[in-house]
Amino acid sequence: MGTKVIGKNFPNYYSKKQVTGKLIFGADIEFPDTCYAKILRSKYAHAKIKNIDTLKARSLNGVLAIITGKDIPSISSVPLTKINQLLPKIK
Amino acid sequence: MKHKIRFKINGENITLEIKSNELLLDLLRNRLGLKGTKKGCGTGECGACTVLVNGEPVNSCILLAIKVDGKEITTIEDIKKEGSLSKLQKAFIKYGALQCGFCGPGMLMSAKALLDRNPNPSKEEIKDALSGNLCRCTGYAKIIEAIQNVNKN
Repeated sequence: MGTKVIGKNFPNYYSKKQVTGKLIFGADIEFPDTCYAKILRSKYAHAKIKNIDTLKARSLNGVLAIITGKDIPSISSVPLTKINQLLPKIK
Repeated sequence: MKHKIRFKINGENITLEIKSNELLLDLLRNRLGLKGTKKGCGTGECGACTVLVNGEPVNSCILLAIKVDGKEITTIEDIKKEGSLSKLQKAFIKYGALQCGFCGPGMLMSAKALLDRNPNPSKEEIKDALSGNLCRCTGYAKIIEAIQNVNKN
């Protein structure tokens, strides 16, 4: 009862690329004119958002867009809970 | 402020103009296109960015590029000699030492530095040499096993 594969060791499919540094990970991919996004998180847990002033940030050189909860339609197609919104508007 | 530095990278002489605050990792990845060296934590804790400077393993993410002026750098791209894999690389494959492989280049560089000065290290010596390299998937058992067997077969 012999088999070619069961009970035998096989090298990882990517192993040769892994040990030579040639395996491509997400951060290794570059496209021309790539835009980068940065997430700003609240410093305080469960805090109420009174206002997010983006004026200064918007005027910085190279900033293409700033997206806050105000830019997301009120009826989201993403099924999230009341407090866990795609981008929070009030809390 | 710009500085002109001269160093050897994987056996090749190179002269580059760099900024005072430029990091070696950014220079390797972004300016020389050597993407085999990885950026994990960016704060010198995980060891994914390990390269050899004059044979010694260093965290390239916290080393200013200006510090390598006149020195010799070896990266993962060089440890494969033309055509075939090194004994160390073959052992990593044979013993299944890598899973996702992100820590691999750093692990291999630290292991190379160790084996270059100590061809038959003990388990403790291997653990010590890899203490600055973190792996988040396979664990360390197979990596240690691979390094222990590089010069045994």
